[in-house]
Amino acid sequence: MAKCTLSIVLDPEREAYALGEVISGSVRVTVDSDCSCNALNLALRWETHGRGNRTHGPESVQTLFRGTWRAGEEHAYPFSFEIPPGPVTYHGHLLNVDYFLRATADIPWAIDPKAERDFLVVAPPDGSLVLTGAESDPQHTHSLETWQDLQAGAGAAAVFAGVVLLCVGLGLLLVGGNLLVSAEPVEWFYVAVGGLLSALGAGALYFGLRNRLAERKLGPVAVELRPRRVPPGGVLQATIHFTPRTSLHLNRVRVRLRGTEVVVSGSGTNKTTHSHDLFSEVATLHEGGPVLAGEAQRLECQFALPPSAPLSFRAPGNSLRWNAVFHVDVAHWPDWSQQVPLLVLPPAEQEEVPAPL
Amino acid sequence: MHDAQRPADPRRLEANRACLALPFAHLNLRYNPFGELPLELRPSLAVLDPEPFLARLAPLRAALQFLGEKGRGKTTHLLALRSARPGVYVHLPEDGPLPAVPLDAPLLYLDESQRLPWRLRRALFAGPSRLVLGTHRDHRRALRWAGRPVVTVKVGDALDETRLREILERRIEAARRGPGPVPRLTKRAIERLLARFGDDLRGIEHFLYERFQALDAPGDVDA
Repeated sequence: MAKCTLSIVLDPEREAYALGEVISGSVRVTVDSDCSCNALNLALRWETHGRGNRTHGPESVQTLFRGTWRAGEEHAYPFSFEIPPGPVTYHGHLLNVDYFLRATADIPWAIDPKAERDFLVVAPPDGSLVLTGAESDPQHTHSLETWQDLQAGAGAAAVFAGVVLLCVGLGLLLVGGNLLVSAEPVEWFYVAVGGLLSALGAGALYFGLRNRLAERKLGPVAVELRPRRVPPGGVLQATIHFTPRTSLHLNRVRVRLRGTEVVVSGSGTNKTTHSHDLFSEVATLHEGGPVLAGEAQRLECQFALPPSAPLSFRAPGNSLRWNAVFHVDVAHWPDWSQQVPLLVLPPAEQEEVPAPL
Repeated sequence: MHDAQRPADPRRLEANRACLALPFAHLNLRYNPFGELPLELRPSLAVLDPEPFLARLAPLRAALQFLGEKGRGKTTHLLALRSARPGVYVHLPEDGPLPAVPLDAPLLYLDESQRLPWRLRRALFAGPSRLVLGTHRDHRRALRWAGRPVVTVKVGDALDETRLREILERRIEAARRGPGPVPRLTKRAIERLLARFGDDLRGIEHFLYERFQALDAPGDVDA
């Protein structure tokens, strides 16, 4: 049994603070039996909780007391922290971000008593001090051109992997099926593995070549998303342009704006990725119909993010991602598709928002 | 033309904007009890009497292996025993570099021991350490071959209504925010969970996570 009990009292008692504000109060100690305390520490940090593995931000720690307590005593040790730059409180479906104060008394040869207090943190009125972890994510720091180059690189890698898998798979099918020496019995294990690898290879090959195949008819396709950093309630402009090389029939051209929580739980063989759509809106840029060769197409639309749109967030195994997925559906031909990530941040850090169309 | 605007959960979007409520305060909880827990909290929530298991570790070079499918509680068993009798704990990841496995530790808790490379496994089993293993694969023969007394515990075998209720209620109590009512699983809910998921505790947790996300107030929870 612990030799004392701790509690955290905020001063003044309130639940919501802005980043950069001072949170103050006291740690109250009620001593049940004589004990010495190596350190009474109070720590402040943000943490994630929910379906994903827990992670946390850097910890600010204050040592409030070292010494001896006598049975029957009651003490109050004042503290104050300036809440450092970081994410704001977020409560979603798979992901939550919350701030905690935790007091621990290090009592030798006894159970260390603990106390915990959670509180809400919001962005300051000017939107400064918000660090979501997503700002430094390479997919947001790259220019759109670089991002497209990276996606093209991923496509090339998929083609390479697809060719290798397909060759190995077909080789196993040939050997296992004894198609070369028909007198031998069929090795079903090789046939099964070969079939699986061939299917995977064909899938990877299609994924890697799909946009290139589509561009054989569509011509080079360029997309724009402005701004790529947008505040909740802000307006986004999505544009796609291409000039078809041959006359073709479009089924439709669409852009989907998505906000998604993505979390990872477990590790190793138990590792599972979960995702949950918070927001999804589809804009149709072209309703479908014939398009003539050489006829330049410039299609655009605007999205208004809801004022309650949560900010982007990224921490190990826990993220809140926003992206726009452009999709060109060509009749009787592979479709063209590309995903463009965007950042939702408080207004202070935005690029200029486009004027409404 | 915009086809659809579908905020998946408008209530949560609004709640997030306002940020006026502490998490799960409406259930008198601090977090969803069936989400992922920090590793350091798991031993205190294990429904397990460590003493009978620790007694089996008395002989020199004793080996105790917890055998079971994923999601049955092997890691929780290891962590609970380690909090009762401290020793070196090593988790072998599926990928990435192999962590150092001390071959001469007096007491070694080795999680996912089926991932040990055979050469290291042979050296470890031949060594002097007392071993507590969490594994998908039965090491009984190899351990006996190395001259060790072996005890095998099949994790999840003893999961009945009483034990499941205790496990789930501990999780809920650990998430309690303050005095007063918290959500409580009904007898029928426990029966249905056992009938549907058997000893798959992780499956039960995932199901209850979604159930608790949708709760509006403390009270009886059916499944």
